[in-house]
Amino acid sequence: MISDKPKDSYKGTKYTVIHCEGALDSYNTAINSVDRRRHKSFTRQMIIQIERLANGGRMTNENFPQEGDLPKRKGQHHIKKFRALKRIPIRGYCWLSEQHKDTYYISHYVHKDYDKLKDSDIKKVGKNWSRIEENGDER
Amino acid sequence: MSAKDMFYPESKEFSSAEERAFAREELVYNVTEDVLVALEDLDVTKKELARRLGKSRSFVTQVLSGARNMTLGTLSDICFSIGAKPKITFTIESSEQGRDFHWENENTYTDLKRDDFIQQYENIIDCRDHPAWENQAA
Repeated sequence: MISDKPKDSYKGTKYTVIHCEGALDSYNTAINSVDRRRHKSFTRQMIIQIERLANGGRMTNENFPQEGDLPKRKGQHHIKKFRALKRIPIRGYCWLSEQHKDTYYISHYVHKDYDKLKDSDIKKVGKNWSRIEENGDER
Repeated sequence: MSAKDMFYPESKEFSSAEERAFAREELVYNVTEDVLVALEDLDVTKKELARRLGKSRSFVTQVLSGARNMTLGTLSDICFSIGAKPKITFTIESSEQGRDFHWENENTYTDLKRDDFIQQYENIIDCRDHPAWENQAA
């Protein structure tokens, strides 16, 4: 049956990319800050980036940069980072799961018209990371 | 399936113009991203690339962000300046019309389920069913 709702995930040839709960809503909020005439183009470009990532295409530090620290697990020494799918001025913060093999989770999107990563975004990614990586939530 | 389904309902139908825009932006993104990957691997900055090309830094930034159209000439110049040789491959996607012509292709024909094929195409007469054949011929 054809669904009238977007799907939560996309399975490429190498990775599955999953929108966390509320991620698509945050995209719709973020895109509203962009000129309306460019909405479709921005969405297309985000889709194309997700497909490249999911199909194992190499991503550049420029368009898929490391952004902030993920929460530390007990006994973990090395700090792991989350990344951003970047299409200026939209960013989709994501991380590669350790609990779910070959799976990237997109925590949320922001309209980033500022330089420094906000603490609120680090906290939001951390909260989603804990729900999924530690508490066993699906998305 | 495409990642479009993560942003749009499955029932959403895209116009031919929208599909064309997707194809265009996909090519632009993947080519510019591949160039950026090569630059990162070779440790060539945009500033250095601009110097090698004899162009401004902003020209390089615009071309590699997709904001400015990259001509094949510019792509060739970029590749030459970093000692890379681009490879371009065309993959022809089969269309419904294209499938009709596969009828002449013995391998394709034998790979299909014959009954499904006959039912699928109204202009094919099933010669194994003689009465029906004679009726249609009449």
